[in-house]
Order: sequence, then C-alpha cells, then structure tokens
Amino acid sequence: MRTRDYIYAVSDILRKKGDVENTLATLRQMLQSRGLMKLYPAILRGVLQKQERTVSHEETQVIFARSDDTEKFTDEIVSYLAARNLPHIYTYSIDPTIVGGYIMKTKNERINKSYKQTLLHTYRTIIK
Amino acid sequence: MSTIIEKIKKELESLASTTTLEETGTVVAVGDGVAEIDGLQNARMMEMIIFDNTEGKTLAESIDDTSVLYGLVLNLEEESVKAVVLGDTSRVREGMLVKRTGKLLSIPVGDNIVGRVVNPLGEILDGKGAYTHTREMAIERVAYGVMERSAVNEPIHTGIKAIDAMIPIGRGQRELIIGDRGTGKTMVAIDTIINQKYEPEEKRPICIYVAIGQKESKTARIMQELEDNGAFAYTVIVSTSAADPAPLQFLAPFAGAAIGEYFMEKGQDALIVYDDLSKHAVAYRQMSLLLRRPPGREAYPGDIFYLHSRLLERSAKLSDELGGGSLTALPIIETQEGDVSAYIPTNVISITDGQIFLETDLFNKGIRPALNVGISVSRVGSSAQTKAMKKVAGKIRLELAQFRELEAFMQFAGDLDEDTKKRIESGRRYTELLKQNQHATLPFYKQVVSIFSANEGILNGAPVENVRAIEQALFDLIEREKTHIFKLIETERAINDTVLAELTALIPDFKKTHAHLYT
Ligand SMILES: Nc1ncnc2c1ncn2[C@@H]1O[C@H](COP(=O)(O)OP(=O)(O)O)[C@@H](O)[C@H]1O
Ligand SMILES: [Mg+2]
Repeated sequence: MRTRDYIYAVSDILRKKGDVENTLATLRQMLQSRGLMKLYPAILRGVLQKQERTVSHEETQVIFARSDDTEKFTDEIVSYLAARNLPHIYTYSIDPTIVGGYIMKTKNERINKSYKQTLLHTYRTIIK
Repeated sequence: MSTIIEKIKKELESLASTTTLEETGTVVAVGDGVAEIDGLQNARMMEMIIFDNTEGKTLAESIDDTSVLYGLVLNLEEESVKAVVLGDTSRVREGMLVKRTGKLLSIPVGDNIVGRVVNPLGEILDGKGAYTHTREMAIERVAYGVMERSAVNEPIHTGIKAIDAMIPIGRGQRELIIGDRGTGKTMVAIDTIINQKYEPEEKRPICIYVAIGQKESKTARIMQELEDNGAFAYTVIVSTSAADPAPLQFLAPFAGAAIGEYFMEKGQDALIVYDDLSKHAVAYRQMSLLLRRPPGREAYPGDIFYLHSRLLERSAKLSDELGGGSLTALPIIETQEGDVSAYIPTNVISITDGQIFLETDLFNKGIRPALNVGISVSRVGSSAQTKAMKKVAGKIRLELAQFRELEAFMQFAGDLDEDTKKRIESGRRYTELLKQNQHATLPFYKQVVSIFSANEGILNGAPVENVRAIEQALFDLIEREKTHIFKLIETERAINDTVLAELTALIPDFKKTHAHLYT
C-alpha cells in the first residue's frame, strides 16, 4: 500500500513537472529521513511500468482481424487521423475475434468498425 | 416469420455502416475499488462509465455476456479521472478500455418499485424478479428552487404522541432524529412508516427506508416488522450493508432521494428515512481517502457539509403548479455519549428544520420513546398541525415545561406545598401518558382524544402506573359506544362543538364506571 502511494505520487509529479532528477532526489531524501530507503527500487520499478503503459496507450493502435486486412483500410485510417490532427503513425495487432473490419484506438477515442460489433448489434436488435 | 426476414435484411443493408465512435480512456491503476483512468477528457462528475471487457472475446462469448460493469466518475484531474468501480473490482485490469456513457448516474424507478428491496443502483435484492421502470431518475441533481416550492402545510403523523403533539412534522420538512446508539432512533422512524397505514390511501405517503452500512440482519428484521405491520406494501427499502463497498454506501441516500422525487414529481407525498448519516459520513470519508482527497476536520473531507446539505435540500413541498407533491426527510444521526457538538452532528443540525433528541438516560428510566421534549424542536411543522391537535397540544406542552422546572427544583427543596405537589403529580401522569410501546402508534384522532381527556382531568386522582390502562379503557369505551367521536375528529380534523360536549360529559361517567383504576 505504501509503495503504491509513492508510485502514484511520483508519477503524478513527473507528469506535471517532468523534472526527473530533482523529483528522484527529493524522493530519496524523503525516504532516507523516514528510514524507508529499502522501498526505493520497488518505487522506481513501479514508476517505470506506469510510464511505459502511459506511452503505449497514447499511441494510436489499430486492430485487424487478419494480416491480409492491414493494407485494406489504410486510406480510411489516415484520413481519420488527419481530421483529428494526429500523427499518421500507428501500431497494429491482429485479433481474429473481431471477425472483420477494424478497431482503431487513440488516446481518447475508439472507432469500432469491426464485424463482431455489427453482428453483435444485429443479434441484440433481433433477439430481444 | 416475414418480419424476422425483413429485420435481418434491413440490418444486413446497414451492416457496412455500423460504426461506433466512443470516447474512451485506459485504466492505468486499480485498487481498493478505485480506478485511475487516463483519457476520458470530457467526462463529467457523477457520470457513469463502462469498463469494457469485450476485447479479445469471440462473438459467441460476447453474446452470452450481458453483464455490464459500471464505474462512477468522482475525481476530475488534468490528465486523468478517478472512478469508483460499481461492482466486482477484480474484473478491472490495468490497460482495460473504459468508455463514457454520457449519462449521469441514475436509478430506474417505476410505481411497482414499492414493496421491494433494492440497492442504490436499482439492482434487486429480494430475489423477486425485475420491477418495470418508467423513468431513469438522476441520483445527483440540483434541488428545487424557492419559486417551485410552497410552504409546508400538511402534517406527517408519526403516530407518536410526544412528537405529533409537541414537535409536529409537516410534509416536505426535514426533521433530524438524533441520539446515542440504542436510544430508539430507528424505532421512531420505523413506527412513523408503520403509522402511515392509518392515512387514507390517496394521502398515504410512499415510504423509503434507506439503510446505510447497516447489518444485513437488522435490515431484514426491519423489513419483517414492516411486513408484519402491513406497512411494507407502501414502502421501498434501499439497502446497503457494512460489507458493501464505501461508494455504494455513499450513493444510498441519494438513490433513495431519487426514488422519493419520482413520486413527488407525480404529485404524491413521500417520506424518506436516512438511517444513518453518521455512517454515511464515514463511508464518504473512506471513499475520499481512496480517491486521495485531502482530509479536513475529524479527517472528514472538507465538502461533507455541502454533501449533506445537497442531499437534504432535495426534500421539498412542491407548488401546486408542479403538482403539489412532497418529500419529507427523517435523517438519523448517531451521537457518541450524547455529544451533539461533534462535527457531523452540528452540520446536520444546522441544515434540518428541527431535531428530535433521544437520550440514553430517559431510555433507561423507562421513558420510551426516550424523547427529550425540552430541547427537541420543529421549526416549521406547527403550521401543518391539525386544528384538533393544536387545540390540545398547548396545555400539555406547558404542563411538561413546568414539570421539568419543578423536578429540578425538587432536588433542593425539602417539603413542597400542596399546589407544587399537585403539579408534579400531573407532570408525572402526562409523562406516563406519552410513553408508547414500539409499533403501538396511534392515529391522530386517538391522540387528540387521549390528550384532550388528560387536559380535562381524566387522569386526576389516578396512580401513575394506571395512566396507560385508563387511556386504553377510554379508547375501548369510545370504540364500543361512541365511534362517531373518532370519525368526526378524523374527517373534520378539528374538535367541533358536538365532540367537545360529548367528550367533556363522558369523563365523569368514565371515572365512576372505572373506579378501580383510580385507587
Ligand atoms: N418505544 C419503545 N418501547 C420499547 N422498546 C423500544 C422502544 N423504542 C425502541 N425500543 C427498543 O430499543 C432498542 C434500540 O432501538 P433502536 O431503534 O434500534 O435504537 P437506535 O436506532 O437508536 O440504535 C431496540 O431493541 C428496540 O426494540
Ligand atoms: Mg438504529
């Protein structure tokens, strides 16, 4: 619990100030004065993990049903990104459960053009 | 058959165009029922969000899975939001996608929610199947303004003589019930609900009992008591137990208020009991700690006062233009060793229209309900009292006030003169008359007869321990031979000349025929 509190606090400060050296120095000082220096490595690992996750979901990600589809929707995807003023780069992954179409995820939105969603929608409207 | 084909055809045509665009965020941390979410830029306070668990599931699995896991946005920060998970937190994982619903948290309500037990989200707890709902009532909302309200002008009868006579409550009022543990606070509230059965059906308020962090066994017992006394048919129980997550307990009174507002807005009267706001404050404190909000006095978050005033503001008597419905609130506060100057009690005292103080000393002395009538008040209720009750209440209030003074004086003075002795005797008899067993509530017309007769001397000369027997014998007599007296007071809500004459004449006869009660 205590380690997690520190991870939260440090991540928060880093996000707002971005000053890594000073933040960590203050953290070490504080831990030392409280005799908690042994928590330091765990806190660093936690902060790192949190940062990595944040970076990964800030990138645009696209999910396709099969690798053949990766080229098929390029125009649509790029024009969408252009409309949102987002960089024209994205990573993609394959998830056969979406059946067809694609799902695009940016930091704040999800565009779902998957067949799975359409089929699910169809099912729910007909079988009530 | 053909409609199915039509439907499928139509759906197939639109197949290519079913695109959804959702505003989303990502869970970056989760623990203790709270999720921190990056993104969700435009989310609002108290908005419902959905933790999306459809990713990576096959179509078949998705079809089977109809359970939706909701969250509630409670902290808006620059880059992220914090939300409480309204359900099984273990289903939320870091990296999970979260989507906005654009809807503020609401509870489905319909007429047949009455007689049911639900949680603050409207989920059924009594295993009796779904209730049909006609509206989604927002759990948090701005209360009605002054222009939309009218003055409190009709009573809520608790069935408890001491309250209805001396601390009358009006429909739309907020009257606090306050006292230590075990002083009968819950009982006063439950008896008030039970007493509504004496109201004519069209004027009978829908009652809502909100259990906040109570033991489940206690809530079950309350439900049984309501059932046994024929009161559950017009009551809704919103139940959270101590085992429920703090956010759910926090939501309970607001959900109850939303249910009350549903009926109020239909022009009906509703009565809501919050049992109790001390536990509510504790749940809010716990939740705020999890949300990392800075603690203030007694470690409660700084906005707890605002929270409770927002809740209690929602009690109202609506203007005729808005249908004239009402929501009366009986919030309960549990004090520690009678300390009403603690943070939460002082707050709630200042935002209610009056207080009913219950005391351990009185309770232990056998004065039950353990009401301290000296310090209990109702600031708006007297304008709502029936004429009949107004007429008889003045004297009893005066007698009891004098009695309290004399009682204090008695402890110093050795011998007392005859007049003082008489007054003390009279005070004792009135005190005895105001005792009532649990669930032995009285319709107002019986209360009026009882107090009227006491004022006219029916108790004079009787030993204190016979007071309640005399009252009962009087009721029996009237029920047997003069029921029209009860009827007339009930319908006219006043003591007319006939009743006055008959009742006054009755007393000497009664004393003669019941001489055994006066020795
Ligand atoms: N008027 C009454 N006459 C007799 N017993 C009562 C009365 N009011 C309450 N009690 C009993 O006192 C106990 C405590 O009452 P309760 O309403 O649960 O207290 P609180 O809510 O203040 O903790 C209960 O066992 C209840 O049955
Ligand atoms: Mg209680």
